[in-house]
Amino acid sequence: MSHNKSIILEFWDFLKIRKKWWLLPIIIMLILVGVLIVFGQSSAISPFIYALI
Amino acid sequence: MYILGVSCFYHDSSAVLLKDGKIIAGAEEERFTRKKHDAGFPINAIKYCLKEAGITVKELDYVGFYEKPFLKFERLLSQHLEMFPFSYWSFYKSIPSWINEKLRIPHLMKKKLGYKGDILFIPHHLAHAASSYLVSNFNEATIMTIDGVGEWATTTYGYGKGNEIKLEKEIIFPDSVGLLYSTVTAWIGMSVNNSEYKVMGLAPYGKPTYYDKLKKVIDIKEDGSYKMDMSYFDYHYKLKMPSKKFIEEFGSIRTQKEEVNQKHKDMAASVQKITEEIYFKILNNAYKKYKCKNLCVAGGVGLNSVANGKITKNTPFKNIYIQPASSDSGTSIGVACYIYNVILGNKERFYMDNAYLGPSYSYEEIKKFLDDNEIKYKILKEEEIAKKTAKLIRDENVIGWFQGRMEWGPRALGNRSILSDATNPKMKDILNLKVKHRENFRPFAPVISKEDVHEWFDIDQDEELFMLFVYPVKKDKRKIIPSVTHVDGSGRLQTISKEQNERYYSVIKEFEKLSGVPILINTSFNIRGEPIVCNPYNAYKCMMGTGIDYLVMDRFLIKREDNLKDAWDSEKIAKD
Amino acid sequence: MRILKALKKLHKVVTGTIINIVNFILLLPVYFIGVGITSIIAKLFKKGFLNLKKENKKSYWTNNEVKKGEIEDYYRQF
Repeated sequence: MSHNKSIILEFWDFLKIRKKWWLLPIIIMLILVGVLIVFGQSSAISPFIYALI
Repeated sequence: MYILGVSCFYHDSSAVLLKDGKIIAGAEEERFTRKKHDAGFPINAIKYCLKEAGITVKELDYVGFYEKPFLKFERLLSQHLEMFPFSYWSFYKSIPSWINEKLRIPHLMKKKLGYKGDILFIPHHLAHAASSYLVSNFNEATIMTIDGVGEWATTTYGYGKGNEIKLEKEIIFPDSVGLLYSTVTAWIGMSVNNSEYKVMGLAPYGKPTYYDKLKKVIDIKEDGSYKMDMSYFDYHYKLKMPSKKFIEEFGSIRTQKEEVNQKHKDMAASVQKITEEIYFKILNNAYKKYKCKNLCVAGGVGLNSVANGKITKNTPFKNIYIQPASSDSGTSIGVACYIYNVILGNKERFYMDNAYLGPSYSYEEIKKFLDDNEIKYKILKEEEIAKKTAKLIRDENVIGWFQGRMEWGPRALGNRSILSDATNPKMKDILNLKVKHRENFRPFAPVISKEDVHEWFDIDQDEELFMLFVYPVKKDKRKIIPSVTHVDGSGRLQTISKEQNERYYSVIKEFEKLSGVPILINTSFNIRGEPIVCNPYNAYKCMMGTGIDYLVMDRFLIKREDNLKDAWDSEKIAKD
Repeated sequence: MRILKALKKLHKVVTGTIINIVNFILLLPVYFIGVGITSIIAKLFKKGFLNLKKENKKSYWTNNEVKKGEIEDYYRQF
């Protein structure tokens, strides 16, 4: 049995335990458009200033 | 039991493998991909680690990752929520990679590595702390971690006792002395997360005339805690560091066309003074609490060797251990050791007293490379290697020295080094002209035989393993070793003993017979802008693309002039 | 061979540009609706997400809440 949860379940736990409910609208929007987003790779696009990435 | 520690996706990806708690292999990904500070998934470093152990992914018992991604994502979203609507550009730049990679580590491990097990996630600063404390030889120690930012924490302190680590206090983003240093680096027109050590080298040329102005930007308390006035910074929501207000206060950012002038040197000196002030105040405060003379440091700011060299003079700490790969690449060690010693409760800890964790190449492998490429060489007898190399160095030659296992961390420590004569006052210029093409304010570093260190340096330790401390060269010795004495009379030294690295040590002793001085210049073996060389091909290519005169690879002596068919100009592609 | 290389490079540039444009457009609603609405409502309730306010405390240290947990705690990404 895997101890690592799926990203959705983990996010749900994260919101419940950390009580950061204000993240919910962003996460919902990300899920809605997420299937359409053409993914990028960190090494290709990430700027050298890493505090933002 | 095999434990793999992994760090990646921000800068300096790396992997480390423990076998029954002992580090048996470790490497930064950049050495394989030849992309400096490579942040990509460290597949090559992992493959090397597995190969070194003679295992496959199936034999891994645990795999650990060096941060808690969801906490970092929370911090990132907090930045955008705070700074809406001004942060869209950085939002758009960063979010795709989060969705694709950073929030999907277990999936990625499966996809890229074929690893079907579970991943353990270790908080970032805890990984830093473990990377230093758990591989030190201290049974208890005060611990300080200090970097740009992890998930939220930027600076922490705590203690380690036995196999326990507790980080008790922290300062959180956006307050970060690491990012302050990076902002000044950017203001001086140098690359962030790459050139901070150059700013450190520039500082002795300046006076801290901006210190009082910088104190407006950062409020430092007596206990070492600090708070920044974020109106001077943009890094919390833009893809740049200093804000307009910072520029109005300190002047415009230096462009590449502009020379580094006194203003920049003074600013370097000022930020160095601020950093040291914070460093020593934190340490003094931590000492008051824990009363332990042992200290472990990690985090990118732990590479500030000037501050490190002053710890014993400015604090009560007497014994200091700093992880050689103090920035993010070192966290893969911390992750693996934390799993073994803390989570699994194994009591036995292993002391990391050398940084030779990377790949080595056998006599046969090197010979095959040379023969396959029709490279002319001589084979030296074992007893000739040191004598011949020392003689060549004494004759003003620049030597590429490729031996044994590649170093772990940013410093060359005698296995992937360029060696030359520290007594020659022209050698700094010769090295810069022939090989390194560095800014002229940057010093070269010395390596010295361990037993001689107190004769040449004002050092209160008996050895310096990883070139993480800068100490004053003794006043009467400075003129003898001008090429490794910085403008303020200091040197970032490495000590070496016969037990630690016999061939390297022997070269120094043979050089001493010729010159009376047991010190060489030791600088990293690489083309400007590239990572340190990893394999024989990299080494040969570096020699032939620069002015290195000879390459000594295992027992093979290769003369550049004998192989001019392979000569090329590395400066055409070099970038810093 | 050179033509193939050049075509490959062109393909990379073109697909890269398309990816960037698509992401830029798709992330607009995420940012302006997801982030924007939350941010505006939060600001109305005077809630901050980063500690940017100027303070003058005796100490800026905060307690590190990370405790050594059981192995199960480390399987979590938070």
